[in-house]
Amino acid sequence: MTSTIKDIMQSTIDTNAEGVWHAVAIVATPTGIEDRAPRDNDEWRAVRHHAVTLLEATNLIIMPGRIVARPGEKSDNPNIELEPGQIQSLIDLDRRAWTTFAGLLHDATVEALTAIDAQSPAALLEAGEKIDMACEACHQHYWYPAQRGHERQ
Amino acid sequence: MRWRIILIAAGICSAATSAFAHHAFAAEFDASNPVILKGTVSKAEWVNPHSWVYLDVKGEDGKITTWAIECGAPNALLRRGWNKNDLPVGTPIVVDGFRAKNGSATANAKDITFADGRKLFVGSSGTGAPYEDKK
Repeated sequence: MTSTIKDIMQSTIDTNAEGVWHAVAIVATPTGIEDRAPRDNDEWRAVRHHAVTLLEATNLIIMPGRIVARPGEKSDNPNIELEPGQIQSLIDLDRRAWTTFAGLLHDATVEALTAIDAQSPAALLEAGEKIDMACEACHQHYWYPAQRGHERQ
Repeated sequence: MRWRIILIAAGICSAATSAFAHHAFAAEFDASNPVILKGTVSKAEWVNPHSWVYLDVKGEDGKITTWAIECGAPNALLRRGWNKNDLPVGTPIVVDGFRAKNGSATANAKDITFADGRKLFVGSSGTGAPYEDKK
C-alpha cells in the first residue's frame, strides 16, 4: 500500500504545520498578554522535528506515481472543493506547476527551520505566515479554485 | 468547515482542534448569513494560520454565550495597524462577520470595532471570503 497525497496532507503536512504554527503565538488571557514560544532547547527541538517532517513531506507529495486519493474517495464539499479525480487531472496536466507549489511550501519551511535554529519566535511567526500562504496558494489552485474569484485584488 | 470542531466549554474556549488547518471560506462559513456580535473579549489567540478571538455575548435572556471568532494571520493583523495589546480580556468590541454553517457559536470576522469607534479589518486572506473582493 502506498499513501495518497490526501493521506500525506492529513497525517503529515497538516499535523506538522500545526506543530510549527502553534509553537509561537500572542495570547490574551485573564492574567495578561503572553508571548507564547518554546521555553528551552527541548521545546525548540520538538518544534524542529515538526518542521523537518513538514519539509520532507513536500518531497513525498511530488513523488511520481503517488495519486491524490484512493479510487472512490469523494470531495467532502463537492460544490466548493474539487473531486479527487479533478485534482489529479490538474496535477497530471502540469507536473511542473505541482512541483513549484510544493517548492513554495518547502522554501517557507526552510525559513521556519532557520528561525527555529536561531530560536527566534518573531522569525518563526513570520515564516509560519509564509507556510500558510504557500498552503493557500496551492489549495486555491487545486482544491477550491472556484473560490479564487474572491481573491483580494 | 466540518473538519474543524470548535470546543466551547464553561465559558472558556479551548483552541480549535482540526483535522485540517486550511479550508475554503465557503466550506465552513455562510456568506449569506452575516452576524453582528457585541460582547467582551474573554480570550484572544494570535496564532498562524488564523487568529482567534473569543467573545462573551449576552443574549436577550441574559445568558452568556462565548463565540469563537476566526480572524486573519497574526502578522497580517499587525500590518493592518493592530497592536498585540489591542485585545486584552474584558475589551468591549463589536464583530462584523459571517456565521459558521454548522450552527455553532463560531464566526469568521470581517471587521472589529472598538468602543471608541475605531474599526479594523481582521479578515482572513486567500480563503475566498466575500469581503476579499471588496478590499
